[in-house]
Amino acid sequence: MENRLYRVNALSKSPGGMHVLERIIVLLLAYGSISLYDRSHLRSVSNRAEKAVYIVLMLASLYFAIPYIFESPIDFPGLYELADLVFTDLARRLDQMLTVPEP
Amino acid sequence: MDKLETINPQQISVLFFTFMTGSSIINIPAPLIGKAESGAWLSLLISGSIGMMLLGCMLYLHARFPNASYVEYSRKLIGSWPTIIISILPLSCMLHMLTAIVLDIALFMKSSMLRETPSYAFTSLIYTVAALTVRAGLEVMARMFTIIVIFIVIFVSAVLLLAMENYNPEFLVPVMPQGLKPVLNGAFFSYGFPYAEVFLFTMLLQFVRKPSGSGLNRNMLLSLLMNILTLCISTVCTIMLFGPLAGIKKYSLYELARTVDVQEIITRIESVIGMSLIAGSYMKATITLYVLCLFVAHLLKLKDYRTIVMPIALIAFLNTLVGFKSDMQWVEIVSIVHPLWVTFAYSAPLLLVTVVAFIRYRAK
Repeated sequence: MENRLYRVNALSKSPGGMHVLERIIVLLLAYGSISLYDRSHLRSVSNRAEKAVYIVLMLASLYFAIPYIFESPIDFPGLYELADLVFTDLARRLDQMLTVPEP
Repeated sequence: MDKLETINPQQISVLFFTFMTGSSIINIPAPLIGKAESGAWLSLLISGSIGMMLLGCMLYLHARFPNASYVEYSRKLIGSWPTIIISILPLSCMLHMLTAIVLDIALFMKSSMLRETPSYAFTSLIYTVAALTVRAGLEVMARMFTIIVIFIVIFVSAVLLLAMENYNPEFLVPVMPQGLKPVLNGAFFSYGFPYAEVFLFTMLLQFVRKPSGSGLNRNMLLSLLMNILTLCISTVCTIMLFGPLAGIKKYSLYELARTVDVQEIITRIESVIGMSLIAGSYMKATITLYVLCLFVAHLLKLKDYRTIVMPIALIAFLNTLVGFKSDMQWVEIVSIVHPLWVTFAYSAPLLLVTVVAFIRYRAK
């Protein structure tokens, strides 16, 4: 029993102190309010491409939403990992070139 | 269709000034002084000149294609597929900018006032208001932001004037105690934020009313000059007050406002600077979100950008929450990676399209 309680606690609270439940509520509020707000607008949109792009973007947002719920366990490649891959080495070299070393 | 929206040259120049000055007036002085020390104002002059050159390219392209956005004339000049390929970096950079602007508000609130409040409490509200403003359109933004920016300029000027008795001009010399390198480092940093970001207005110049569009070039240049002057004054005042410590203070203008004490009547007016930071960042975030939506809509040839405002705001909101792993990573991205990122995302494509337009024009 004690073991089970410990497991529930460990799963539900991240090191940052934010509950999984709290994060799920934040996401439900975000998705819910957007769906309510956009419902009438989407009905008036006749263009299929616009609706398709809307759905694709909402699905793309799940890519960020899922790691947000589970926080650290999923190490997903995001925008900054890609930027890191492309720019960081050169940027660091430039910064070193322009920085005067400490005496 | 978004083309129905029109604003006059004065309104777009106010939007431009708002975009360039909004959050940078508070966020720029400290890290810039940290890099360039007392030569920070020289760095601003150098990066401002580069910004002016980029603005020149934008105005040249606008003169050639007055009714088209950057995506549209890039399609005409270099073709559809190359435009889509070179648009990946600007899109990623705009998402990063949006994340950074809103995250700045959350970090400021958490570090100075509401330490225990989770970030989403601030970011969700800013994204909601920004998305609703974008849905309202450019005309609404132009009218509303004019009023807000006047208040920001009054507040910041008042704080800088009231702190005058504490200024020590001796802190301004020597201008380059460690040579030219730190000044160039500062120039590279301030070129990335905010001067390379002028690129975003390549998407907005098409909305300027055509019969009265003649004063556009003058107004835009005047806005940029005003911005350079404002940032220089704010930086110089910060140096004169804090001296070598100015680079260590996180929000130096906020700290500067804390020192104001006039006859024990006007004291603790730092909240005025806090409000200015929030309002300035909100306006910049709104313009960035507007341009991001417009960019995607033009790239995918959608009829109305309004449909995709909410999903893009949601993606940016979630990216603010999970995008970066640690504070150290964030500091490195903003201060070291950002200038290089905007060079490849904004400046390089703009220069490429300008060169192609120029060669084609000459060939004709």
